[in-house]
Amino acid sequence: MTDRLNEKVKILLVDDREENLIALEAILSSLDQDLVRARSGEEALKALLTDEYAVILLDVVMPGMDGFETARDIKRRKRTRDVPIIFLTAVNSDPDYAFRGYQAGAVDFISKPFDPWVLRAKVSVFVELHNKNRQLERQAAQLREQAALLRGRLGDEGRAGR
Amino acid sequence: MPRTTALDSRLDRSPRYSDADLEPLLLALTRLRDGDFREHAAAPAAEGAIAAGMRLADQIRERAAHQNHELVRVRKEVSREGRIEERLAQGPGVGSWAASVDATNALLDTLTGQSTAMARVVEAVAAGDLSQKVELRWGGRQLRGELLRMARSVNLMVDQLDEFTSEVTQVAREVGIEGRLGGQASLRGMSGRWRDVTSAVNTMAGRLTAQVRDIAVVTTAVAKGDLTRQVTVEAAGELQELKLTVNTMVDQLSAFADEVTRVAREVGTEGRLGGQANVRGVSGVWKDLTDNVNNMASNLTSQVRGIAGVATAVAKGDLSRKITVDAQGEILELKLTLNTMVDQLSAFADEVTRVAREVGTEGNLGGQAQVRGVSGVWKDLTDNVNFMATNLTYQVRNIAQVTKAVAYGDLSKKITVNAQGEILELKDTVNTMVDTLSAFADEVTRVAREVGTEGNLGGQANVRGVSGVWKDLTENVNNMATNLTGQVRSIAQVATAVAQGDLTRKIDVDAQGEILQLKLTLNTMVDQLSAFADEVTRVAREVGTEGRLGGQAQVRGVSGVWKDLTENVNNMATNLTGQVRNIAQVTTAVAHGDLTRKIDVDARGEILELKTTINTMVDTLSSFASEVTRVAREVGSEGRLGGQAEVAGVSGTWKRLTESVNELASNLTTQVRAIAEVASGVASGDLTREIDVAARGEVAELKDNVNLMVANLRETTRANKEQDWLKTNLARITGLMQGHRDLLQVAQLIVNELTPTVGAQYGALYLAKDAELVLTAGYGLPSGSEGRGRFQVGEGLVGQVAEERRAILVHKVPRGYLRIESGLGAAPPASVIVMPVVFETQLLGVIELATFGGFTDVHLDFFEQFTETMGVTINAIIATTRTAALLEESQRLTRELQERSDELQRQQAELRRSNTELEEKAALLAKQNRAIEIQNFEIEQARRTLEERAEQLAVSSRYKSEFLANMSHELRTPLNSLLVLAKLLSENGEGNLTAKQVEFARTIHDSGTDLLQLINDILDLEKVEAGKMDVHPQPLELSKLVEYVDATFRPLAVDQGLGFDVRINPGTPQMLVADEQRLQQVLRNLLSNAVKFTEDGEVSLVIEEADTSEVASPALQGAEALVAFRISDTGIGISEDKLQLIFEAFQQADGTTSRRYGGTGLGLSISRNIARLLSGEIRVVSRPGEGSTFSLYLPVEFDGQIPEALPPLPPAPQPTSSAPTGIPVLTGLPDDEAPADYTDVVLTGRKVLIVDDDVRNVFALTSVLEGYGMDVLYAEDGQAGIDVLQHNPDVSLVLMDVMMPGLDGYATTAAIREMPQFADLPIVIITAKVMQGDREDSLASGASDYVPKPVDVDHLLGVMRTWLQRTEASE
Repeated sequence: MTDRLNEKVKILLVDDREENLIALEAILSSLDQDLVRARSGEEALKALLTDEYAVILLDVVMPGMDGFETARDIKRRKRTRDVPIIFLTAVNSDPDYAFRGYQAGAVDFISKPFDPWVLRAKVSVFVELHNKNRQLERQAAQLREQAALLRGRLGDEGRAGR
Repeated sequence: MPRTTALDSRLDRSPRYSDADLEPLLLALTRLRDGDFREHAAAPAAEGAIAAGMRLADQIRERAAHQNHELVRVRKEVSREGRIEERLAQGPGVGSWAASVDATNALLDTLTGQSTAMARVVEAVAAGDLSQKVELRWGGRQLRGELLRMARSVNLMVDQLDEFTSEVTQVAREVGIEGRLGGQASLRGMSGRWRDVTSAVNTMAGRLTAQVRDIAVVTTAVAKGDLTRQVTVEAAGELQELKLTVNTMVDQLSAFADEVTRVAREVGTEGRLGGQANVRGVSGVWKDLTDNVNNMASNLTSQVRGIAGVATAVAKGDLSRKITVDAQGEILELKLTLNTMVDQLSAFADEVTRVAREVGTEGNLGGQAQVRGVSGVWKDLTDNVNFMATNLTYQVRNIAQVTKAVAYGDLSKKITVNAQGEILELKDTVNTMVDTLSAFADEVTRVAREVGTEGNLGGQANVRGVSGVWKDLTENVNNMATNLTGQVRSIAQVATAVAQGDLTRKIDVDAQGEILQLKLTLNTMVDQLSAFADEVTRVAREVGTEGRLGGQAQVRGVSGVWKDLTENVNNMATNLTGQVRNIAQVTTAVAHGDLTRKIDVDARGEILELKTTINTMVDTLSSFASEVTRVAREVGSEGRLGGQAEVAGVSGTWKRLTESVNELASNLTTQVRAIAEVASGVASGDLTREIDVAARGEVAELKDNVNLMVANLRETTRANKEQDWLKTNLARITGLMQGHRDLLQVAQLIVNELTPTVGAQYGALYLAKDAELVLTAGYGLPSGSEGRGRFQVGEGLVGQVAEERRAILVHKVPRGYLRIESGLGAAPPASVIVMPVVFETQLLGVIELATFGGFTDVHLDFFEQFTETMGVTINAIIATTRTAALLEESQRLTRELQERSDELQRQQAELRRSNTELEEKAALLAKQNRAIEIQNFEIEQARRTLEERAEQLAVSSRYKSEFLANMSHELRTPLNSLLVLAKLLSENGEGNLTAKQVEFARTIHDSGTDLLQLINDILDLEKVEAGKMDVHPQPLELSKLVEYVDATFRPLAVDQGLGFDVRINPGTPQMLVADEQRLQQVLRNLLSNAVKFTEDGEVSLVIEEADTSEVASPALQGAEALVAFRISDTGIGISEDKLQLIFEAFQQADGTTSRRYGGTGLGLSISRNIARLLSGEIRVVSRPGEGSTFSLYLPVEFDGQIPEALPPLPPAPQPTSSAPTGIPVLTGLPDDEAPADYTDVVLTGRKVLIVDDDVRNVFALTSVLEGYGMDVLYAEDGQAGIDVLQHNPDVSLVLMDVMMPGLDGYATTAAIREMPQFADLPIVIITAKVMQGDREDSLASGASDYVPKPVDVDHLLGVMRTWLQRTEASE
């Protein structure tokens, strides 16, 4: 548990409107993770160049580079391809948007105004998933290390036996 | 006592016993009846039945006593001792006795079993196991009555307890174990105390959360070492104690920490080992702790001193020492570690020493330490050392550059490298040094210039603010200047004396070193000057006085200016010699008659005068000569006789000479004029004149020659005349011959003309015909007598000539050979000539002429030439004749052809005519086609106009829709945060809002929701109007619809006190094909309107089959079956004139500001539109005050065809995908798929830095490059790029954008190139500019290459590979 406390994961919140970011932070603050704001698609890409994120909450309608474009760029890069993206949009009545969102690689598509509990639950699932993935990675690394160690020992013994 | 009775019956009935006998028995029985089961003293012995009765009574007593005893015992055991498992022991009795005991035991079992079970459950509860339940069956039977109730109560209690505990546990776990403070237990299903308790727990959890958080903050602060914080949260009881304790702890900890810090500082920082912590007022563990710390400090002190010894040794560079002090645990580890460290340090030191030696001593900058097998800080240290070495290298190189520049005298350079600490000081010092040096150099330069260049002796350097060696230096310079001034002045005196010609003076001032040398040199100079003066004097005497030209001064051992001077003297002597010799040459040339020469040697003074005189003489001579020459030319060359030379200003010989020339000229004139006269005669054709003037010599020769010439001229003129004659006649006869075609005529003409021309009197022409010569024409031919008409070749002279083809001339013709007759007489001719007429080699004929006189040479020449001409002519005539025949033949053929051609032409004309007719028809057709085309074009244009209009309409409609969609989006967006935050507030998560505030928040949320609904309505309407609303028809059960309506609206209606009725009339189809969502929406709208506008009465929905006559829409009229949904109310109703209005958007029957009912008036409008989408329609019947009935008609089978629907718009561009701005970032990249993983020999594993402010571009490039396994770093602008580069020296390549804020790409590249370590780093510039000069600019800034935007990925990768391979190769 301390392990998890020490390792806060990062959640990227992308919206062009300050108040939406405040709302998102209000909703997600109880998860006690690092919430990183981005005010545009470009800022989101910049953030992704330097850090690793557990999940991205991406507003669809933004001036300049919209959410679909941003998602497409994110999905195009190998390192960021697997970061789950949840689209947030106020334009819920257009089924085309949801379609485009999923096509752009979203794992979920939530229309505003959203239920805080639902959003929190969804985000926490991805945070958990991310932690599990990290744990898996660590274990895999350990296993690899041990395997290498064992191989080395086997090799030594093989040499000694000879 | 039935048994007793039965016993009695077997006994002897006869009364044998007295009452007294029976007394004990009665007594015993009485006791038994009265419950006295005690044992009494045995009655006097009896016998018989009495005894038996007594025994039985006693046995009864015993059994009763036992039973009683057992009951008493069990009661005592159970009630007093609580041993409920105690049971009655079976007594000696049987039958009912035993049954009674069993029953009692069974009862006890039941009771205790139940209570045991409950007790077990309660025990389990007490033991915290809430999973146990009381069995509701006992002994295979269902419990009943009170027991069942009890068991259920216990179970209920356990359940509630369980729920409660789980809630509380969850909260407790969240709060206590998982640390998720703020958790709250749910109150669901709780009541009574449990609810209170849970609330209390929640309150507790809340308070605890606050307190714990506060304490946590403090403890976190403590944990983070901040001992200034205190717990301030309000608390009571134990928590208050805890708070106080924590605060006390913090205080004590603070004191303790201060003390320990002091000790640690003394021991750790200041190195004062042996220090002891002294914490007052602490007790218990703190005291122990303090003691321990002190103990530890002393232990540590000794161990540390041991370690310090080693460390000191290490510090002093002695890496051979090891720690030997005894230690345990961590210190032992430390010791081992230190020893290991010493070893590693040793290795490290060696390596670092090596690097230091290389870098520091040997000056091999750029060396890197390589310590293998170290990790952690040593690795870091090694890295740091390497980094330091790199930095130092860079800094030292920079300093070296500056100092080198200083060494080369360039004081303008400064050290610019970033440095810190001592290096920074060094840098500052060097820079200061450079400044000082610069000032000093300026000052010294000034003094040197004043003293050295401008000669201002006595100047002093004045350098302010310098000290030490610079001051000394300045003083030395000043001293030097003073000394120099004294010495120079002394030297100047001597030099002045020398200048004034006094060569006797010598310098006697004291001097040393160079000045001494100068002094000696000057003295030597004076000596040499003396010697020089002597030598020059000698040369001057020799040349000047004795005239020995070519003498040279020879001063040995001189150099410099003396050598120059000597050379000058020699030069002068040479010059003089040259001048004199030049003059001599000129005079010699004049003497030899060459007047062109002048003295051209440079000379001055007297020599110049001499030169001028001689040159004047030469000029005079020259002018005389030219005058004479002029006369000679006039007379001799131009023939202007009579000219006289006039030389002015001459006398003597020159005058006489002139007169002689003039005489000569007049003589010549006379002679020449005589010659001229004869020449004039000749010129005018008079060839008879001769020159007879007397002349001599050459003129006589001339005279003879002229005379001879005149004679020759005469002869030539005659010959010319003959030739003239010949040519004239030849031309004339030839001219006559031309134009004739008839051979006979020509032959006659020839004879007629030729004969008189040559003065002949007889002529005959024979033409060759076959092998014969036939007389064809004659002149003066005697009639038949003489001469023959025909000759064979070779026959006679004519034949001979024909054979030989040579003329034969016969002179002195004998008499009778031939006679030439005239009317007056006849005579034989003197000469006859026979000549052949030949063309090329063909003999054409022979001509014979005879004359009295004879043929001159001219005649013969004439004949020769004429026969040739004649040959040509005759041949031509013969050829012409032949040609004429051929021509005639050909003309005949032509005529025939002509006839045929005429026929053909006639036919052709006919064809042409029919062709023309066809063409006319074709033209007519074309014209019609054109007309049709024009019509088509007009139609097309009209169509296009229509399309444009339609498109404009569509566009404007789309704009409207988009505007509304965007507007509603824009409205939603702020609403989102409003709603979310209001929701959060209304939940009152932190519990710090009053009920009123929560109410407010809820109101905000509800209003926001209403607003959202309104916006949704607008959007819906807009979508329907724009044809964007999709309809998904599907089979639909009417009963379900009714259920939905009932569930939704019944509560509303009941709330408002209205009756509500929904029914389906019989005969209505059960199924309907329609869009359920939309249908529900319409019904919702209509029903909510009905409820809204009805005060009392009822609202009903009736679904029934409808007739097509009720509807107006043609599509609906054509439907097979119709369903009507009738919504009736008893509300306010609508007046007739408003019935149409209410279906318009934003309209209500009462639209005034004072209207009674709210709403937007969108519902009906949307409903009508949706109904239309569903192929249906809505009709309304209403009476004000009585109510309204809205009927929705729908076809039973909806085919998806929308009647009267607005035409669907062309798909509008997504509002978000705004027009692409700028340049596409990447081309050649697959659009929807990222590049797969490639491994590239060159690229993989390399580190590349992208400097670009366009993050999308960077992201795209990063995606590609990471696909190739590259490590990508990113910098947003030029300065950041340089920083990144300095921290990552292993970057292999830089991709640089040009256009960046701040430092642009070129400037950044140039700045990177200035750093020596990046001099060879490949930098590729990427720019959107495509100007011609970009490439040059890029390369000029130091970039390695240039890639234009939009970036072609393959090209970029190619460029990167090239450069990476290049650097690889160079490494």
